[in-house]
Amino acid sequence: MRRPASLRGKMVAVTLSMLAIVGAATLYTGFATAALARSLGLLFERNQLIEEIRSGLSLSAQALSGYLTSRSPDYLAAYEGAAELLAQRSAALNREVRADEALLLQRELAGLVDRYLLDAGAAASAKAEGRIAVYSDRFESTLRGAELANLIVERIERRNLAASIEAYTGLEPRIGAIVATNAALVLAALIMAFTVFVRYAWAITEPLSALAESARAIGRGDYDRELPPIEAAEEIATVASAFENMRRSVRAAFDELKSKAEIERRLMEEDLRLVEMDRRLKDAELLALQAQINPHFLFNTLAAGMQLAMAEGAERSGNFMEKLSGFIRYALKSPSRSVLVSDELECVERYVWLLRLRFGERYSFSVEADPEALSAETPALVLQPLVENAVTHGLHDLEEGGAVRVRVACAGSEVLLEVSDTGVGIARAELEALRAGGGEAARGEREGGIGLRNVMRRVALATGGLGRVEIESAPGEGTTVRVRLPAAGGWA
Amino acid sequence: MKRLAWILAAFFGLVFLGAALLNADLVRKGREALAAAGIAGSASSHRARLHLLVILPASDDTYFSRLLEGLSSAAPGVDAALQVERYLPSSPEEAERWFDIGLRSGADGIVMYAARDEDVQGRAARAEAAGVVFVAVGKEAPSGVLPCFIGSAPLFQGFGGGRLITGALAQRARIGIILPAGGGSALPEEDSLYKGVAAAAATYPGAKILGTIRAGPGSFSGEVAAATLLAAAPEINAIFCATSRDTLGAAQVVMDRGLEGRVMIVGADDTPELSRHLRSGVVAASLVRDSRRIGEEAARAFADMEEGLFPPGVREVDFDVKTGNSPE
Repeated sequence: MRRPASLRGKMVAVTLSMLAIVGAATLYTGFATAALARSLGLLFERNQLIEEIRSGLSLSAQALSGYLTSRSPDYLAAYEGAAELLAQRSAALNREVRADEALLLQRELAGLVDRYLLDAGAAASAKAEGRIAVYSDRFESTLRGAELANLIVERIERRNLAASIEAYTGLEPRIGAIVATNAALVLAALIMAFTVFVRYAWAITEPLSALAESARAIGRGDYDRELPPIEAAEEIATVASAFENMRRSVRAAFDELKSKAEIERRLMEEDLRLVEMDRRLKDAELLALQAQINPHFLFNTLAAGMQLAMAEGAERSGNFMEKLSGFIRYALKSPSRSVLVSDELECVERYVWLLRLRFGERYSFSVEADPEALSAETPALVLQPLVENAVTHGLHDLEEGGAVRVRVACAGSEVLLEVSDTGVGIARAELEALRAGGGEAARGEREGGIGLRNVMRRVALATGGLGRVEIESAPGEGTTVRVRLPAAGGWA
Repeated sequence: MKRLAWILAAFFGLVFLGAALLNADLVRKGREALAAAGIAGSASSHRARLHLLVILPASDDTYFSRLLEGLSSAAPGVDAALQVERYLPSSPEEAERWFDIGLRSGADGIVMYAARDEDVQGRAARAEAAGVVFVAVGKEAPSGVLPCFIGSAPLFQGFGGGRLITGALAQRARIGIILPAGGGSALPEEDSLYKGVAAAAATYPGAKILGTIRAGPGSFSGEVAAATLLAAAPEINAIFCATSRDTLGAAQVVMDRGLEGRVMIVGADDTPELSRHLRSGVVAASLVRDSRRIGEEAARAFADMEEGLFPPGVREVDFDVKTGNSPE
């Protein structure tokens, strides 16, 4: 994986790139201008040199003529000065033999000047020595030399002028294009440098902007906003990576806290539910205790009454007392206990005997039992409340013909306890409420009694949820309540 | 963004390249100007051992251009750098100034055109006194003892031309002669060209030279001379010319007067225009002097004398006959 460049390296690269671009353009145009200026400078210097040689020839010839005429030291000094200057200038001319006409002209001029100075010097010396014929002859040669040298000077100047005109003629159409192109070059260099700067500035600041946006999102509490992939300088990439790691860590911590809170909430709800169940259980036990007080008194009283009835020969009243006291004795025991189905049936039969005594032939009651089911276990006081509900709510409005049927049977792995009546039945809405566990709303428990809801709850609690209560009913078609219990028992 | 950057980079590259080319052209032109003035670029020019001053008349005669070609081609072989100076044919003092410059400026040698009547012997003596090698070139060797002269053979040229005329016209030949400008003696009959033509005409009894005229230095002197000849002797049916310029002038006169086929022209040297006249038949033949070879011989003679060899004296170079059927 390619390692991103460092921020410092990028900034240095950008600066160097801009400097290189602008510098290259500037240097190049500068170089071209300098080369042209140097060419023009050289041309000017060389023209100046040629002109100085011409001037030196003229001045030295005049001074020499003056000296030869007057023998004045001033003229001699002037001549010597001019001759020295001329020799210096002549030394700058080309003296090599080269296949170049201009250079050969210079060499020719240099040779002529040398010869001129030689003749002039000889003339001056001869003048000093008084040799008239010599200085006269040498002076004539000097003048001839000056004439010929001036001829070459003019030739060189004409040639330079022609070359300059030719060069300018060749350059003139190009100068406009060159100036425009150089200006375009500088402009292009600036644009290029600006582009490079913007490009790199964008590359550097874009990830920072993304980082800032993510920071603002976290500031708003949005820990789910992921930092987009960033290709940036090493430093920024490092900061971005650390920032993203921090965001993920914080989010993970929050998720963990949420999870813990949820678990605690559920535990608390479970505790509350258990507390509620415990409270209800205690209420039930309290109710049972309350019920025990009066039934004991009632049981003792009924036992005394039974003995009195037997003593007075009132057999039927004695039986009544006996059945009632047996029922009360069964009911006084803990409602959360587990009993045999046969015991539960015996209790129901006593209760039915009492109901027959009360209602006479108005209602009919029947009890059917599968012998195999009698030895099974069942929560106590399950059937009696159902029979009581059937008489109280199902058959209540019937003057006669009402029937209640109690049936106990084995159904596979279950024991079935069923109470059905031919009463008024239950409306659909009430039936739905009963099935949902709202028994009190439908068949309103009598105060101090044990209603359908109590039966349903005790069955569920006693069997750990394995047993259940089913209700089938329709208005005018009676009601059937089935209690299904695990046949294996052992759940109490 | 990236795409824009690439476009800008390409634009910058193109502008930079264009500017580079234009600036390079600018610098090159500047250097050319400096080189032409002998200021810059001297290091790139060939260094030679000898400085040879060539002094020629400013003439459009191809004889001189070929002569210069021969000198230029031979100069590198003898390690010499040429400096060519031209003078007006009508200004012999200008030629003398350049000769004097050659003697005083330290040139190693002088190659100078010399007409027949010029004092070549005196110049050779002055050059020897100044320690400068002197080589004279020309069409006809001046009189006197010459240390070094390289030229054509006018006597044979005249004889060859005369033979061409008499070969075609035999005893019917009526000949007019145009001698070259400059040089030459005052009497045409003493010119070697005339002598050659006369010798050829003498071989055919009845053939005659009806007129002889020396051309002037002007560009149209050939036309003037031909018209003068024909005016003086209308029966002339052949004209002998010694230079290409005079040949073209004579051809123009013949065409202007509708005398093609009736006046035979035998000319000299070779130019594109003259070749055209040869192909059309206006000019029957041209005696092409090998002036290029003269130039080459002159350069070699200069180098030999510079090395201390004995001067070769007079050396004449042959000529070729060119007709309309000759290969180009």
